[in-house]
Amino acid sequence: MHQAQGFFYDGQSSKPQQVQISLVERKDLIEFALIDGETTSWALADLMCENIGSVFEMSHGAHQFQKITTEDADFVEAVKLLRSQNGYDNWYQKMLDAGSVFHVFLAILVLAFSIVTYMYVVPWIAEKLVTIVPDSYDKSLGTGVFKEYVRYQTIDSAKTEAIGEFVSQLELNNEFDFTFTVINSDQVNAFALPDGNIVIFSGIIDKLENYEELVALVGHEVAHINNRHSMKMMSRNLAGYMFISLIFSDVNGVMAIITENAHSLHSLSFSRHFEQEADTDGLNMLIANGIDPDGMSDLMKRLESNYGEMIPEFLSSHPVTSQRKEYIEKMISKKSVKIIHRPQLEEIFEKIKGDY
Amino acid sequence: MENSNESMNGYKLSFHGKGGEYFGIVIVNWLLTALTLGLYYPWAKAKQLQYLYGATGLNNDRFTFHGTGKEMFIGFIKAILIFGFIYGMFFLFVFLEMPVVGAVFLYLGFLAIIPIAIHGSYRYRMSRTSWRGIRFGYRGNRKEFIINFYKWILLTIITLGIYGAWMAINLRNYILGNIKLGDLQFKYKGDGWDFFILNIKGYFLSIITLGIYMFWWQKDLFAYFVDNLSVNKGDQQLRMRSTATGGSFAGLIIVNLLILVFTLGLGYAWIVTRTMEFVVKNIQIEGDIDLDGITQTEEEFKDATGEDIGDMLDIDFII
Repeated sequence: MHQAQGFFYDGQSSKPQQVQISLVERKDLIEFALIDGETTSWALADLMCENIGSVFEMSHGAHQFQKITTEDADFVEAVKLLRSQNGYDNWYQKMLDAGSVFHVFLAILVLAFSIVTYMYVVPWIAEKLVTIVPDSYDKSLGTGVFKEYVRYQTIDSAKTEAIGEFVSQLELNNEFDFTFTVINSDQVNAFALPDGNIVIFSGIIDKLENYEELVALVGHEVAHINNRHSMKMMSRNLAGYMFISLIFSDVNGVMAIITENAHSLHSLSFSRHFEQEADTDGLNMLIANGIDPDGMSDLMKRLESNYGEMIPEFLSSHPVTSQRKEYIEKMISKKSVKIIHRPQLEEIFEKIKGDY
Repeated sequence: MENSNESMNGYKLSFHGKGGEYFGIVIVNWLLTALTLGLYYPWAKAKQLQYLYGATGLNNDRFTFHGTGKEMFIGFIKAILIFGFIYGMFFLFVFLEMPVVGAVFLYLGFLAIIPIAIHGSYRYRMSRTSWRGIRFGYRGNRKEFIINFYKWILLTIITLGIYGAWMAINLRNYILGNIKLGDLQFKYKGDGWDFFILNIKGYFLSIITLGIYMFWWQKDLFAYFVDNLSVNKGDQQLRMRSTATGGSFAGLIIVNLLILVFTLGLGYAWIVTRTMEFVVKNIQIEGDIDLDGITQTEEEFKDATGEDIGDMLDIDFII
């Protein structure tokens, strides 16, 4: 039987009462006598034990407002041993007691698991989720954005009409009705909205030199819509963000901010992936329509001459243009293409260009 | 400790926590929270509070946090339902094409729960905290607190934020003045005007010195909190005094930042324990209350809803 000196707090007063504590091993309890001579016993199974520095606390009662503290190392050892032999230690305590090497290992494990899940599992689930979202959602979203956007822009109605005519000559393999709008602006750019609205800036039209390039541009934008890239992007971004805030926000603010920024960088890689997919699909559309696929690489040349390369790829939403040109040319060389000359398209193209 | 004269004269706060130990808790909690998709959060929080309270001592006896994950989980669920309701109404109004009504509802909803959350979290947290088996307690009156809170916030809005200094002090005076440890009564004696001047001075000097004065501003804020706090029992009293200097604050904050940046946040546990140690080391207590003579007066209180709403709104516990 182990014995030790300790202090008893009765949960009524802050006055420490010095007591002699005995560990009764065969009964699995501790016993102590109070000043008035009364002996109290607490079953080990009911105790909450905690080691804080050199002090060992054993608290008791429904909410542990009664407690005994002791600093007797031998006694504490005996109590701990008996408790662990009888399985009173909970698994949480065991994990804490496992030591700092284990904790560092655990941290690395959680980190690695989170990164793998984030890189591979989350985007996959997010894309699957998109198939559940009805097309009508894409429509209302795109139409809303389009209306807001066009409100502050000037539409070139003659060119818009001509582009419509141009596109009607092509087989676009479309699930959506496409509407093309030309907006007066120096920007060398075009973008597609999920409802089938495609906006082309007059700036990019000015750069184009033949109708094949315009078909390539149309093909690229149409591929974004056919593949529902906007929705996939949104879904991936949202899912990634939710996953990150779930895993890291509870740890601390700095980790949350670091991971959120990493997430925005990583989401640019999704974007680059989608751009490449649109290039590929656009190219296939050119070929399917019997149009010279060089139109796609020529389109890249126009873009390249305009932008140069100012930002490194990992900071950009698009792959580096020279690289796009390269993989497009590689793809072209692998395909056998039957080119048909399309004088009608050429004529409309001249009309679109000729307004200037 | 049998000799009561000893505790009559010497009072000492101490912190025994270790970064490595706390790191273990943070990491185990992190794993469990991630695996349970966040549901473990209330238990994680209980464990962290239990550790930090248990590591803090007054005259070598530790504080105890008695709150449990289960209590806080119930509060967590209630808090989620309340937030769900407010957001649900907001989206309903947006769907009905009344976004303005929705936004008003959203803001009023949050405004309505802030004082309830503050009140609730103090009641819960205090009643689950003890020292030598004696419970803390918060005796504020909810209705009175809510009315005061709205009055102060209205004045703050009308004065374009200037009244904010008075509001902060009024909150402290009210909340801290209603905290008890058994039959000991806490008291905070702050003045809005002093606090306002202190902040104006801190703000402008920080700008002039390109931020260097911030550490001294922080020192003043800490001292203003600590020096105005006292504990009373009849005509006996414990007074607190801050011994922190601007230079020591600079050391604390700069090293904390370096740890945070170079460990990419993983060193967070050491930052918490270093900061706790700093705070505890820089509070001096003097007075004549017999620490062996405190008697239990406070009831138990188990509703943790306020605590969790407070978490979701990111309200800092000590105002």
